[in-house]
Amino acid sequence: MANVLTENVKTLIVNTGNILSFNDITKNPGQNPSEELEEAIKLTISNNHVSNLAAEETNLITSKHNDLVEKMSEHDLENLKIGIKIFLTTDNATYIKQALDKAFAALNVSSVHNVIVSLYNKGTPDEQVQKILNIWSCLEEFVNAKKVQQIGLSDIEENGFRSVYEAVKVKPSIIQINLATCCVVPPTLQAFCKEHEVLLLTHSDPAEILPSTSIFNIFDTPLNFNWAVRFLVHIKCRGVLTTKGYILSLNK
Amino acid sequence: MGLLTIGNPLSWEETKKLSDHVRKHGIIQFINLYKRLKDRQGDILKWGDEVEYILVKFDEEAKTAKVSLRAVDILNILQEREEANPTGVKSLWRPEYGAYMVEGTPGKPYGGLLAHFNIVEANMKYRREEVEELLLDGEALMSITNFPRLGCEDFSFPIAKPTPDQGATRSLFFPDEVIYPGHPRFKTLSQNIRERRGEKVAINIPVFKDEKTVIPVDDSHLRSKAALPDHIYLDAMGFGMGCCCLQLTFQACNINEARILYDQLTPLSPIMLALTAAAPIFRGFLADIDCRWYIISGSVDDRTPEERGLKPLNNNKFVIGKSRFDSIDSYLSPQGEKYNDVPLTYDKEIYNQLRENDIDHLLAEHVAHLFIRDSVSLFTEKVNQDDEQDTDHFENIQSTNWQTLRFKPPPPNSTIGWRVEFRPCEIQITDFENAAIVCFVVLMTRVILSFKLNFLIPISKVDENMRTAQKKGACLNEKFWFRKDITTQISPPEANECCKGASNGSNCDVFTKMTVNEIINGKNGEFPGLIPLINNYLSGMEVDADTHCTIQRYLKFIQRRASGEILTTASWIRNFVTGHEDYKMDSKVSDRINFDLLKTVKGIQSGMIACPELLGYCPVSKTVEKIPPAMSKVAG
Repeated sequence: MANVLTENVKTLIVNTGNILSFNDITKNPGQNPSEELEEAIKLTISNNHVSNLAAEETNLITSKHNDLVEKMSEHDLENLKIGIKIFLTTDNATYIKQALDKAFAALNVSSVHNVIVSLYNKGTPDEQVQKILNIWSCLEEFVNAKKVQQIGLSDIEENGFRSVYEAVKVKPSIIQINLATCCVVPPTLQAFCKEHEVLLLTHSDPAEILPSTSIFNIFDTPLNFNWAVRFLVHIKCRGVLTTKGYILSLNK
Repeated sequence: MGLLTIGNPLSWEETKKLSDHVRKHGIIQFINLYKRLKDRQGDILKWGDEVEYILVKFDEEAKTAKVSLRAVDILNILQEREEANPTGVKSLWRPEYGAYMVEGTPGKPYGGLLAHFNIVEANMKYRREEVEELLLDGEALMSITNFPRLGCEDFSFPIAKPTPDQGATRSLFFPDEVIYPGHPRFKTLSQNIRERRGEKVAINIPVFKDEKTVIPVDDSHLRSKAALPDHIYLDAMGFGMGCCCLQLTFQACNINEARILYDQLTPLSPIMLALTAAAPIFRGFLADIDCRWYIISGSVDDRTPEERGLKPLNNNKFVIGKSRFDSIDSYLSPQGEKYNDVPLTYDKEIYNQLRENDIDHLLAEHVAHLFIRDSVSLFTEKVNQDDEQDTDHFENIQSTNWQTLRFKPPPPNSTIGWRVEFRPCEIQITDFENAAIVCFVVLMTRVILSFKLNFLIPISKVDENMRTAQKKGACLNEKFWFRKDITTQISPPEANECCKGASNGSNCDVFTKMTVNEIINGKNGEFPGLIPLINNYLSGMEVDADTHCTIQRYLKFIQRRASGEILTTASWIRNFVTGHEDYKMDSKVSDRINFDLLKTVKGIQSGMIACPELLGYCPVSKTVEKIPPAMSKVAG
């Protein structure tokens, strides 16, 4: 790990690139997204390429075999649909900007179709709503700048979603719920989504995408989780997933 | 099959004289269409299923069930509706071989959104109800692969008698009246196949030998030299083409993707055949096999004794290994080429002509292989064609090569692209099961393209798997050749080391024998499993909650079928018969057993009878008629 955690560095940013081209991950489809992310980071680090951004005291780690740009150029952008999910544990709005900027740069795009936020915290429902409102304006800016078409929320109670929906200017148009509960979606939520044309999507992500034990497993040292993004690139109307990967930020 | 235009069929002698004409113009038509359409790009995913049904007539007093020969009446009404509103109908109906059969497809193809998986079953239900409204008292529409007593005495309603000495079929068991009378194609095909072959088709199915089974099973061997005494003897095209199957067709984005999917689905065909096995009874006897495939193959085997290798070649050009109906003989993609290990019979002149017109080796071989066959059905009106515009002669040969997969060029003057048809599956009793199978296969195509998977094994091994798949209980008990490492990506580089050692890459081509369960559900540390791969793919897709729930119910069902937790349709039917109070352990399926079996099937298909041993405990999905507006709005 020595080369990725050099002394003067405060922040590590890991870009897994397109994990669909990691055979070891394809061969192990039973992993949940956290396990998959842990393995993707390990594979990236074992074949790493480090660029030191001295000014930011940041080491940017990518895989030597990163084929992301190549994958993205295989298709005309207009035929691709790009979705991003941001995993946060605090309501630090600058993280959203950082995460999206890094993701846009990695994918070499100026806009994406949707961004879904998962804000993991152990607070009360009211506190959760407040935290989401604290970061929402940052997301709205991306929408207003036409960099993001749709924004949405993951793992939020129906009442919380309604509160956010009422309070904000740019409305969330996606709610993502964990698939463990998907077959019993509350009828009131379903009706609300139908009435407001909110997409009710499913996911299979654990509440905490990269727990501290995973971080320790990978780096042999405790690091703080800042944010993670997952990008998914589909070919429109063909049901083909062409690119999938993660970028994450950790602090010493 | 499209709407069949009625025409005047030529006799076999006339058709035979024109067979070179059909081949010659068929090839020119293919070359022209290939030149026009080879570079067609960017087609989106569109796909559709085809479900075939049997009309059954129950007699509650006599306790009998017969095939009802009313398809022509029902189709007349359904096709009138279509003609009145060709783009508005929700389903399309076509005739099939039997006068008791109908084939239904969705009115419009499904599209490339995952939400489309949630409307398949609703459309299947709609189709069933649409026909059910037209039925008379005592009639039922059933999706069963084979009518168990097809060919037994008085098996049709109204009753018809076989005419062994005259007519199109000349069967000991299958009357010509049971062939669909609404279009001349079907009788013509039967007659021409028999005449071309030089004798009636002959199919001998090993009988399931139970404790009190009497051999010979009946007097067939006294009436026909072709009959084996300990086999169920069948002697008519109707025994095969009168079976129902579940097929699906999907559009690829271009010709290369179509080739890849054609090839990659080939090793899956026998697996899907074993998984969907649903035909354990023929002509009132329990068979020692579970599938229709071998029977259909034999039922249209028009090869002459010379072509079958029984006599030296004299009047014919080739010895041909398989019937016109069988598994495919060659892969079409560059990756597939090295697995074409069975010498291909093809017409060298046609091959050269295709090559001279810049058609690559693999596609040229494929087409030249299809064109070793003669036309077996030709209409006066279609003899002379404009080879720049028409493709009927090409389609004439192409559509009478009935194989596990069909590689379909775009039709002339249409917006349709290159397509692949997947044909091995047997039909299941309920819409839930059929929708599950259809969605599973289409999902697999998306997984193959997304993860760039490689399932290829030598074509000879696929052939072996096809034979294995039809055995009794194959889904649970047999093992199939399957590729061990299905990944193809080249990073990290260490993973690719094994390829460097051997110049032919054989070290990477490890295939081994696996059960259907291991293939579908995975084998710890050795094989990931198709369903876990689908689930991993789904976790990267935008899926709405209802669709997700429906797909999960379908996948669970398939997992249970594969693991043996629930029975295949064939095993369930077998158990029903052997457990029936009227069954005498003699392999015979009496009128009464047949009646009770089909009554139960009818109850299961309508949901009146729960059948967890066949369907599991949750055979209910969240299927809906239409895609939610929020979903179609952001289509992409």
